[in-house]
Amino acid sequence: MSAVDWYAARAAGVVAYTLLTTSVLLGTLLSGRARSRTWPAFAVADVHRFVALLTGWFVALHVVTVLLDSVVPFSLAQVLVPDAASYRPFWVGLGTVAAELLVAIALTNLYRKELGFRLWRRAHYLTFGVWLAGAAHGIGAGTDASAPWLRLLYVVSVGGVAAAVAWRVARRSLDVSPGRA
Amino acid sequence: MPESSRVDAGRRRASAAKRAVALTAAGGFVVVLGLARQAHPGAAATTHRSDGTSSSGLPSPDREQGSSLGGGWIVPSSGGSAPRVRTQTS
Repeated sequence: MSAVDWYAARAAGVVAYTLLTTSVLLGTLLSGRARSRTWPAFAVADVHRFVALLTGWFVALHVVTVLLDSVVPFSLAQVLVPDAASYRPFWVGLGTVAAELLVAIALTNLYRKELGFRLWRRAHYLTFGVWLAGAAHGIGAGTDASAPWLRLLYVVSVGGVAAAVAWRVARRSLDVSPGRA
Repeated sequence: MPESSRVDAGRRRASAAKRAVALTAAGGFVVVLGLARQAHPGAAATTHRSDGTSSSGLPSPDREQGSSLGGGWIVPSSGGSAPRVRTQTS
C-alpha cells in the first residue's frame, strides 16, 4: 500500500480549509453589504455558494482518503465520533465536529425558506465556529502544521478573517449609531 | 450602462471567478500533495538503523498516547534467536 491516500488526505484537508476561509471572507463581505460597481451582490453570492459547495467536496475527499489511508488508520466510528480516534483524539475530534457542523449548515441552506431568514442567519453564523474548529484541527492534528508554507497559510487566513470580522463589526456599529443618536 | 448588461456582466464575472476557483483548488490540491510528499515522504523516508531497527518518521498512534513507557517496538530476528524487544522508559 502506498502513502498516496495519506498525501491526498492532507492535501484535501489544506485545500478544504483554504476554500472555507475564502467562503467565510466572501460571506462576511456579503453580510456587510460591501459595494462594488463591477461586482454586484448577486455575483458575489453566486461565487460564495460555489466556494462553499467546493469546500464540502474537498471535506468529503479528506474524510474518504483518511478512511482509505493505511499510514494512520481510522475506522468509520473514529471519523464520525469526536474524541474516538487513537491519533491526537482532541484535535481529530475538532475536525469531526467541524465537518458535522458543516453538514448541519448545508441542511439549513437547503431548508432556508422553511426555517425563515432569522433562524437561517443565526445558524449560518456557526460557519465561524466551523472555520475556527477547522483551523485548530489543522494546527493540532495536521502532520504539516510546522511546515513554513502551512504556517504562512494559517497566518494569512487567520489575519484575513480577523480583519474581515473587524470591518463587519465596525460597519455594523456605523449602521446602528445614526439611529441611536 | 443599462441594467440588463450590468447583470450580464456580473453573471460573466461570477462564472469566470467560479472557473478560476475550481482550477485553483485542483491545482492547489496537486501542489499541496507534492509538498506533503516532500515533507513526509512516507515509506520512502524510512531510515534503517545499524541495529536492524527502522523508523519512518510517520505519526504513530502509540507515540501520541502519552504513555509513561513511551511505546516500544519488536523487531523480527534475523537468525534463529528470540526476537529482540526494545522498550523506552521516561
